[in-house]
Amino acid sequence: MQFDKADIDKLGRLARIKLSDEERERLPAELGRIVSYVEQLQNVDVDGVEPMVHAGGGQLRLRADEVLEPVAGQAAVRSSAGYTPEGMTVPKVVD
Amino acid sequence: MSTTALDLGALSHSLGEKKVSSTEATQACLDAIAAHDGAIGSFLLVDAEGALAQAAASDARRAKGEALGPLDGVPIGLKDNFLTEGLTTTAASKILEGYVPPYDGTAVACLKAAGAVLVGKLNCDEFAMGSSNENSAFKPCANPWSVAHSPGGSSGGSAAAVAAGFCAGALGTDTGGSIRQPASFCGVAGLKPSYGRVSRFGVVAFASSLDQVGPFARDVTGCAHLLQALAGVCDRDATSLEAPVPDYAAALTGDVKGLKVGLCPELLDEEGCSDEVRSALEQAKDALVARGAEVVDVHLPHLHHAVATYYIVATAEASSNLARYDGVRFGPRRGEDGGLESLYATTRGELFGDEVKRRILLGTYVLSAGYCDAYYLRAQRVRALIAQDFDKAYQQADVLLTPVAPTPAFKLGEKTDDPLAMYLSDVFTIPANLAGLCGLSVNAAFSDQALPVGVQLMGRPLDEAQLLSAGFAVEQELGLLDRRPALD
Repeated sequence: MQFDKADIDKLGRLARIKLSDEERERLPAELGRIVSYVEQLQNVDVDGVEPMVHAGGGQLRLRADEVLEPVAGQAAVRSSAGYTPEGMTVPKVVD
Repeated sequence: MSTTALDLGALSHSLGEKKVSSTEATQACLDAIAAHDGAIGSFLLVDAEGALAQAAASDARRAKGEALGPLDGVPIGLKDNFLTEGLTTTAASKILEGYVPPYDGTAVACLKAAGAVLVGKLNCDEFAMGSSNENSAFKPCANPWSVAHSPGGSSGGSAAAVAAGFCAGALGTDTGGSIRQPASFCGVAGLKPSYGRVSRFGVVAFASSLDQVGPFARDVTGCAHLLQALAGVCDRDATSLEAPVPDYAAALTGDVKGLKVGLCPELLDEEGCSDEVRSALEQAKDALVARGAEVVDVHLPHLHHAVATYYIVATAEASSNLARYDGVRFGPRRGEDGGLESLYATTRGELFGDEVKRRILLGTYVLSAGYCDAYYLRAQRVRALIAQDFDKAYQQADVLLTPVAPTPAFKLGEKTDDPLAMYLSDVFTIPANLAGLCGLSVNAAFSDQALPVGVQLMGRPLDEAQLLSAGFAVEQELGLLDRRPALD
């Protein structure tokens, strides 16, 4: 598998990561090598094999839909860089 | 002898006999850290004030005859991806610099309930992504046995701190080997419990179907005591299991008569193991046989696809889990003046390290439209085949014995230019995460360069008691527990 800069730019947009020029130079070859390695799985016979999502057999325990001890509002937002006592500030989203 | 030279069990016994107080033992750890951690770099944060307060509380409980159990008053370190209320938790990343969680994760709460003294937060690879601790955004961590060498990763700080005697035990996390490999490199015992045995609530998530919390201690007994406090179901982790928790310390009889130990010959032939690793494996095998175990060959035909499978599944899950780090709720932010998209992309671009970005981009690729079936879904099918191989192997063997890594600790800087080479060194540890098995690393030898070489035992899901017992037998037979690194 070969990547070019356009492929890397697209992945950067999808992942919301702004890449530097140095990264755009380096990453095509780096990711290409890794993806070429993992492509060996294309040769494995997986006919009739169900995907394994996780080791618990795909069963998740459910609990009653009750509010447990909540995380205090102020404590939860205090670590935000946009913290104010009224909440978190963010850039304008809606015009 | 300083209390820092005592194994966890021995320290616990001394505390119980009141030969030493928790305050004395904790102060000894803090002194050792102050004197020697400058050269090693295992701690990102030392909470001296908090630790001494917890130690005093432990001593007060003990004076009233109200000690909580074997961990009461024992100094323990926590990898910095465990959320600790009121103490910064960074996952060794700039994107979480200064982040103070508003709650303790379940594993942390379990240790507090057991009376453990939490000394501080330990260095690791950023977001637990790495095998050398060289991806920490804040500072490198060195191996106490040789500061030119890596302690392993991603829980390098945890392994190094225990090896150096800075704490009697530590917690780490293991997604593809991140407890077992640094345990091997640092000559300590490290356990990855079965998936679901310990709650992941309040642990910074990397790959949710693979992550597991586990203990480090100098010896298997210490790991057993820590696992006892951690194991059990948790209402806040839907993947945690309701299975009963046995008495792990009581299981450490060292009796392995009739235990069937599985060796996988193809694994050794394919994976370029050094002579020292092969020799350590032989010594561990001989130790078990000397105590009455039988060796059987097992075959794991899909195992050579494990690394490829892992680097699709883990990176896919990581790309999803790390999407929350967008500069809004946690930690610093960048690029806010450019609007919302700029906030996201600049924060993540500037504050994630290279390895984290690499894995997020890989995960994004394997999940993207047109590729998801070919990569992610297919990898989950191969994962199922690998798990089936283990099911068959465990019909013939009780535990499997393998190397932990192809070599002893490598030099710092040796593998940083080649990400794929670093990934391939996880070949022995990754399978246990894919299949949800328990895995234990115990020290089995020292190399010509006086570096530790561990071996791995893997057990069936929820078979930690038997696994720990087998590890205990190896440890007792080989008699290497008295060696300590010389610290500068």
